[in-house]
Parts: sequence; structure tokens; C-alpha cells
Amino acid sequence: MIRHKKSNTMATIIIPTPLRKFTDNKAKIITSGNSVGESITQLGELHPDLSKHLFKQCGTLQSFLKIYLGDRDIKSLENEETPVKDEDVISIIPAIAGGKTL
Amino acid sequence: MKATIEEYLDLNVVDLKKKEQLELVYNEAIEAELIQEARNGYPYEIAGFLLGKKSEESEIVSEVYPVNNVAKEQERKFEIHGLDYLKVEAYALENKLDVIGIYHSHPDYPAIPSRHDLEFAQSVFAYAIVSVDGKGSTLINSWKKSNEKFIQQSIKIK
Repeated sequence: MIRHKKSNTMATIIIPTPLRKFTDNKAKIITSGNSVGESITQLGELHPDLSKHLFKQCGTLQSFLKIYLGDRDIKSLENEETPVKDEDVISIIPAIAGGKTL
Repeated sequence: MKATIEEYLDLNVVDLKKKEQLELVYNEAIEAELIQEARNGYPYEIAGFLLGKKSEESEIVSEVYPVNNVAKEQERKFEIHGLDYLKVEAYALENKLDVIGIYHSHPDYPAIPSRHDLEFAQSVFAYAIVSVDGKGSTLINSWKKSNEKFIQQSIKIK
């Protein structure tokens, strides 16, 4: 029986401007995870300084960050379990808000 | 509006003793665009991005990238949709520009940051605030987050 080893997918993660200081100023990082969660975890392993800005101590994603796969928020997909295909683009998006708020 | 600017200042939010080293530089056309947007949006807050080039001495804005304010209470808050953020980062990469900062308006409120502004501020970004009132008077100040407070950033028009 011939067993085919499952090849890892290659997705691109877009790093937002505020986090590029932790990726040697790189805006795009290629990862090979099979899900969004695996890809983001791999990104954290590649850039350990970035990791604490991505994850809380309990290991879940920081609440002020959103993750998009293509143009969809992963919350509307399968969250971190969302499968990743070759050439998919994953974006990390910081919450941008403010205002006078009286 | 309160009687004096000082009444709006929250020293837990703003550190007046320090100043940002990098100047924010833009031309009169950019200034006019920021003012016009704030006036058009009044009495609601408007928001967008400042794109350009960063150097060791200054942050030179060459383009304004307006986006929709998607906050629920737009007369006192702004929020930028994740998809718009994604688009502006992609646009900047494609055009070899830096995302220098974010601008938003403060209708009937001075161009000084609030506690809510500080809560979401990213230290890498310049925060240009356009104060606007019902008569169309405007004032722009820029701020940067440093050590958990905002410090003022000089603006140069050229």
C-alpha cells in the first residue's frame, strides 16, 4: 500500500504595522500550518517576541486582535480550526477605535 | 464645550512634560482634506489613515485614506472595521507606503486625546485629532502613545 504523506500547506500571514517590530520589519511571513490556529502558533514560534502580543498567558488569542482568512473574520468560519489552503492569506488585525467618549 | 482646554485634560492620559521627537509633516492639501472631512462628518466622528514615509527625523504624510466609522455611537466614538484595516495595509504594501497613523475628529471637543483613545492606541502610530465645532472652526493636534500616555507630536505644514 502506498501511503501519501500529507504535505503541509503554505499560507502567507500579513503582519500589521504595529507588530512588525517583532518580525524584523517583515510584513509577510510564510507558514505551513494546516489550520489558522496552527499557522498563527507557528508564527509565534518563528518570532517568540511576537508571541506574547498574539496570545494571552492561557494560550488564547488576545481579545484586541482579529484574524481574517482572505476577507472573512475567522469567527464567521471555524475560528482557529479554520482549514488553510495553499496560497491562502491570513491577516492579523488590531482593534482600531477611540473617540472623545463623554 | 467647557470654558478652557485644561478642563478636558486628563493627566492620566496626556503627559505634557514630554514631546515626541519625530515631526508629523504634511502639505496644505492634506491639511485641507482632514479639515473638510471633519466638517462634512460633523456632528459625528470621522476616521481614516495617514499614509506616507517614515524616516529617522520625521513622518511625512503623502496620502489620506478615509474609511467608514462603524462605531455604534458615532457622535462620540469611532471604530474602524477589520476589513478596512486589512485593505489599508494591503494598499500601503502595494504602493510601498508606511501606515503612519490614524486620524479622527472630535466634534465639539478639543484636539486632545481621551481615555478611550488611549485604550486602543498603538505606540507605532501617530494619532492626528481634528477638533471641529458647529461653526466649522477646526484645530489639528497629533499625539503618540509613549509609556502608557499620549505625548504631543509637532506638526509641520509644508
